[in-house]
Amino acid sequence: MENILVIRELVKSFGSFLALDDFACDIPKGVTGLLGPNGAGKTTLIRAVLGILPFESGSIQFLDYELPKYILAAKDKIGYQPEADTKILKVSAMKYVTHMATMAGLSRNAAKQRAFDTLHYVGLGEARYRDMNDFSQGMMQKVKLATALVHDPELLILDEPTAGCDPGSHEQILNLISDLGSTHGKNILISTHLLHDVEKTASSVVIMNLGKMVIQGDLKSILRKKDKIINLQIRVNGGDINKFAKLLQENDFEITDVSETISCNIEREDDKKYLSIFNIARNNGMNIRMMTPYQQSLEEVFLAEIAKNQRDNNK
Amino acid sequence: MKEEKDQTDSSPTEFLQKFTYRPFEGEFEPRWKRVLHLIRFELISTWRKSKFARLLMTITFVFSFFTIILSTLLTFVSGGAERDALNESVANYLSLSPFISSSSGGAFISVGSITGLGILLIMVIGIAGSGFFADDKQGKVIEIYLSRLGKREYVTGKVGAIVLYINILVLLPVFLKGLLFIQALGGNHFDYLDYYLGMVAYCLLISIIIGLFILVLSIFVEKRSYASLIFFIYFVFGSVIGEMIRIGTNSEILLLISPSNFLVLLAYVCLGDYDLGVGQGIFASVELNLDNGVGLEYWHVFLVAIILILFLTVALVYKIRKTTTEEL
Repeated sequence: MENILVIRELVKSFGSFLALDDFACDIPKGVTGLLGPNGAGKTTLIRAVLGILPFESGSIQFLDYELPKYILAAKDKIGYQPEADTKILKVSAMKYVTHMATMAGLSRNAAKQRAFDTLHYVGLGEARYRDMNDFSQGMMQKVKLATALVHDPELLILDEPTAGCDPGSHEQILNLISDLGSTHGKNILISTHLLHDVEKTASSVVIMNLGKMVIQGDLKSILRKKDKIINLQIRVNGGDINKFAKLLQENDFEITDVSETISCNIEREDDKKYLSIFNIARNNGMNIRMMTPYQQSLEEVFLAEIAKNQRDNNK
Repeated sequence: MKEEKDQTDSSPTEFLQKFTYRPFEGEFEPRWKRVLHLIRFELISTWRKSKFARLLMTITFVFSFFTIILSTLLTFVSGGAERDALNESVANYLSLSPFISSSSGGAFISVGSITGLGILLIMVIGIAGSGFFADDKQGKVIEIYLSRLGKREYVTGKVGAIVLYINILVLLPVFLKGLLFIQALGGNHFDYLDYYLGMVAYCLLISIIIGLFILVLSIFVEKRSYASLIFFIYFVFGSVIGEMIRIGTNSEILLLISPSNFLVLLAYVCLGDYDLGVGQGIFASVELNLDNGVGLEYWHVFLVAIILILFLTVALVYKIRKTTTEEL
């Protein structure tokens, strides 16, 4: 997959604290989640990409632009939604977004038109002339998203785009991100603590910890367990589940748990073995209602990878 | 959290169907135009943000208007004193008290000292300029600016805005006053070309010095109110204490430590008027010549102005480069 952002051996420190420690990753086109615990260096990385914080060594390639050499040209193609609530005293959402559009290089007229369009797109058409200092957290997030979008950038960098939102606004913003990514082909990098947001919107993920890249790749392959065992979750009807579990055991299946579902391990190399489960059920007058390989949640992957990384660092 | 149900457009997906995202098909403007947009925005913001500043500005403009009208009536000034009066009207426009007069001997009417707008103008400039960076820090918008502009563009926009703002408050009334005064005297404006150029040079210089000073305060302190207070206290108390020290030591050079006196002296040297009388009333006997090779000279004043500009520029650039993550 083509990359929109290629980062190599990036080093950034604040005094003796190493915020980015030889950080390297490839951000592919599409929607990517940037995950990491507090202090992992996510915001520092974003600021380094945007040229807000200079870095000591390493390289960043954004599209055809080598950064920070061509940072001004690159800024025109990046839209940024910061984590903090950005406010200008006594300014309406419309004026704010229009002003930020002119800062991104749009003429006054174009800026007004784009501010109108993007505020409507994010669902703030009715509230656009209200002082944004009176806005709720969810509305502020939408203003910030409209501001990031107003100059139609190639890459959107969203830092905690749903932080502080009520469930309705949260859902709206995730829908907007999905729409931008899937329908309008925007490249989006979402930095968030909310793993569910990434699972819902992103196609690839980068997990970082202590300024280093821990794991990266497309979301599906990361969620797939990579060890030798596949864990199957089985439900049956037409008979007793415990009896069926016993039958599987008698046929050399390893049963790890029986509750509403049977957890059964099979060797990844012998993955056709699951077909015989259907035969066992049929021969005993039962039907398989569900049989699915267990998929880890992103949270499980995240916690496991961060714990592994911590252990490696402590060695 | 504030209620927002009625403020946003309906359900999670309804607005997506109503207003789809549209790509931008226009062209991007050259980068210098963004700086102009920032200057324009900041100028409008200074008017919008503070009611007190609006009130002071209105008072200032009303006073300036009457001064300008008054200048057309001063036709009885004659005998070469008209140039002294013009110089003094420029020099004393920003001073707190006319310690320094334009002539060592001539009796003339000072157009500038009639109004005594200095303290008001300093307050207006302080209140308006103090928010330029402090408000951005408080509103967390520095980061969003820097995601679109280079640091140099951002600072240039702010400096440009404060310089323009000060010139609207100072250069515009002073220029009009001089223009109408010369017109009322029946003089030829081309004969006063050096006066006009000197006035413009002075206004540009002081707008840069005062502008940089208030911007440095604005970027270093946490809130705009602190910056405007420090600026005002420094100007008023600095001028009073500076003048007291100068009187105590009887040193010409120490005239420069009072901000008010420094601005007055800078005006005279820009206008090419070096033969001055210092003070009115109790200081009237002191004479000051800035081009006699003794004590304070005109180049000392220029030197201090250049040093101030360099120092304040370095401080501003240093701070914007070293902006902490909390300030972003």
